[in-house]
Amino acid sequence: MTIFNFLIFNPSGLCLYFKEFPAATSSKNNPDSWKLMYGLLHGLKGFSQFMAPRPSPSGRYLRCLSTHEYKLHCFETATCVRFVISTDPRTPDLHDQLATIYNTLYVEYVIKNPLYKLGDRIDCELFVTRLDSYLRSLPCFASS
Amino acid sequence: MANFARSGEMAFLKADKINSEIFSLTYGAMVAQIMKDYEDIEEVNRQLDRMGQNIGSRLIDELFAKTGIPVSSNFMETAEVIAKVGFKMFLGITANVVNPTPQQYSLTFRDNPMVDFVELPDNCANLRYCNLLCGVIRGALEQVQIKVECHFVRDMLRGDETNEIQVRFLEQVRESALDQSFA
Repeated sequence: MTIFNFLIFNPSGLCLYFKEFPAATSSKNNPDSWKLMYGLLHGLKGFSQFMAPRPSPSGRYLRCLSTHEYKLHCFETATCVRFVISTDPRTPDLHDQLATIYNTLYVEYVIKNPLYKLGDRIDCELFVTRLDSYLRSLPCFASS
Repeated sequence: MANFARSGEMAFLKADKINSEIFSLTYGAMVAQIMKDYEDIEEVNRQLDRMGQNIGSRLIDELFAKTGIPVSSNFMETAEVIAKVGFKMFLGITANVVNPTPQQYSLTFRDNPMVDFVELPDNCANLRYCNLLCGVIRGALEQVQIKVECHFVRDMLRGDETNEIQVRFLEQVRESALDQSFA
């Protein structure tokens, strides 16, 4: 099982952070693929709300999108920041892990960083290194 | 309602704290400096509000991350969250929600660590010393797509018997047109 890439989007669809792992053979490191990805997430959010038999008490609907070749895990915060991770399809749901990234890494090292301006791309060193080691520590991360 | 009070209490217990006197004194020093820099009282009020907005837009993420309370996009629900969770988490006090209607509500509170040792001199009668709080509330709600207007209607520093912040609903911002077409 492997992790392919990891992205953070802000509410207006800007990709704040992108990280690609060696397992991804076709690179998604370009603004066009981020826009496509954001468009998909945005559409899916509306669709999943529309299809819901009853309103979700947590206000969240979308958890993951699974295909034969990959699986997208999504987590959206109350402030509409989206965390997305793309993995091998056999990986179990990473929703909770994305919530942990938000709670313990994004809030602590990005939001609380006075030098970081909301809406800018994230280049906080602490965040980047902690995130990298967190992702590498996940059981689903294995070098292929 | 009761569980908001509890999550506020829990978050407060877990949070790192600073001495409240240091907090009051640094806030006071900051307000005094802004008064020197801008000279005009109305401008000082505006600057405090703007600073608050920047603070609020960051605090909201911490609030959700630390308490895990569900997303409330309903304006009236935000009153309890601000009063019982937000105030408790970041100031160590709780506020009461007064006259909640779908269009506006008031938050009242008596204890306020920000105004310890503060007396307003006569020439600052129009200074809204804690205007930062209004900005915080506005900035925080803006991040959850709720636009509000927020101001002090009663202020103990100016001789009122309680502090009262009035929050008025302006609009719910949709994320984009795409959401609307599915809603």
